[in-house]
Amino acid sequence: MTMPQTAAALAAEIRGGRRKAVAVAQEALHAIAARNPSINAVTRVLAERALEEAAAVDAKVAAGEDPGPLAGVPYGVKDLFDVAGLPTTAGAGRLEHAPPAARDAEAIARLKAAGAVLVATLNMDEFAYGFVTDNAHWGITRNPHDERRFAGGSSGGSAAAVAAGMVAFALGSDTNGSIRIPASLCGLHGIKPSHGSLPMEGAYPFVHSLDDIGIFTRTAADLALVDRIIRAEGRADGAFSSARVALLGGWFRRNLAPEMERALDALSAALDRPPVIDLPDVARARSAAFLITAYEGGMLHRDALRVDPLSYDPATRDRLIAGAAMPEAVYREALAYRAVFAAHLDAAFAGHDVLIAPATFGPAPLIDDPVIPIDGSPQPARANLGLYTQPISFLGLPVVAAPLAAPGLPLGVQLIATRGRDAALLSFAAELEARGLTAGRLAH
Amino acid sequence: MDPEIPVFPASADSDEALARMVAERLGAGLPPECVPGVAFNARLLARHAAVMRGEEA
Repeated sequence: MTMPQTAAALAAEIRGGRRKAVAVAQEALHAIAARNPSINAVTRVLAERALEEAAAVDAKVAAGEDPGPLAGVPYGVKDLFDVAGLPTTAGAGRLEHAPPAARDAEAIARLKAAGAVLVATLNMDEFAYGFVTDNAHWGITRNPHDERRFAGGSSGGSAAAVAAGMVAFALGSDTNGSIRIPASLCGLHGIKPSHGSLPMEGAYPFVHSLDDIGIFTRTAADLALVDRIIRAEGRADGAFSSARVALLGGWFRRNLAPEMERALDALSAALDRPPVIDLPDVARARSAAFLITAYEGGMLHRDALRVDPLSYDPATRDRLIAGAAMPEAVYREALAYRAVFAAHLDAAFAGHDVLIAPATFGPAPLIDDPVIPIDGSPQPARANLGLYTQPISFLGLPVVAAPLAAPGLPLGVQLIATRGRDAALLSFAAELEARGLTAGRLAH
Repeated sequence: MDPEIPVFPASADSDEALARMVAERLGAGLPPECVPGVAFNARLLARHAAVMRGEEA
């Protein structure tokens, strides 16, 4: 059992009175019961809340009131969003019994006002520090397209729940690639917005300079629909009149798996061979992002690590401790490097609207072989799957992860624009989907 | 910004010495089970600092 319909289609049927929101919520709960035992995307099923929210939608429809643009659409949220009445765990066993949140995160409140129905909280790497969703307390989330493989992370539960058809969409967060990587490995669309443009209130922090919340959907149209509801400001920037596209080469063409090479070549051919830009200093930017992450993440947890380090997942703990001991001057140096790298991106965007880069080196790594090849040597996937995503979020640029319509396991690309052009980027993603170059996948 | 500031001094060449230095900066003792992982990650950060500074490919 899965939920095959898009968010837009479900909302249209419920708004039109052709389906009951309560029945759709029950279908989502059944889908979770059927699919989650082998995938492990869901940490908490919110059946009571879901049925209450769905009943409220049905009551509005029956009364002739507007139930909202997402009426009755079931969704889930990464375990770092505040949900009223529940502890916000951020994927940490040490927070499983924390005091409950007093109110919903702002993004959830906006979705509720739009009629969406929250059915589950979803697995993640502890404190969002990882790219695979291998959680010491809640376990590994498996990829619905091949359960021997990782779903990606840190928002892996969100991606897997959508790809498996448990929910129509999900919220996650992205600091260094935590939406773009699992979206790509699970065959979904995802957005990491312009930094700070979606509401962060009620989302557990990790790295304040880089954190953003975002969305997973199967279609580009759903991504734009949910984005429009959550977004704080208006979407006045519209579409590109005729998007000028370039592919990123150099760093972004090294270390790729053969299937990703082939998929990018096919995309390039379909786009009439756009120019290839070799950005300078990408390695330096990625390392600067790595250092900022280590320092800010470490400082956030420093006090707790001093008194209770063994309550953390060892893989997270040791990274946070090392980061907390980094000199502040090195962190400041990493922050200052953003201006240098931003100048390179400004030059690239001078003649182009959208830059395209791979989201990952290739398909999802095997859980039993959790490494990826970098310059000829195997490196841990948990820390290194962000090879192509970290340099982009380093500058806070908006990125849509788009699933390539290629055979085999899911592969995705990053569609990158300048800050503030999120809506235009979403329109461009819809164009690619309409041309058949990208396509979200449901794993049956 | 002084580009010579090391992430961790080169004198800390063993896991134990490196973890001791990290613990001093943290202002707390490190349980023995943290030592290998903390030392690994401290060296990783030092490599990333070198890459950021253009000292290492």
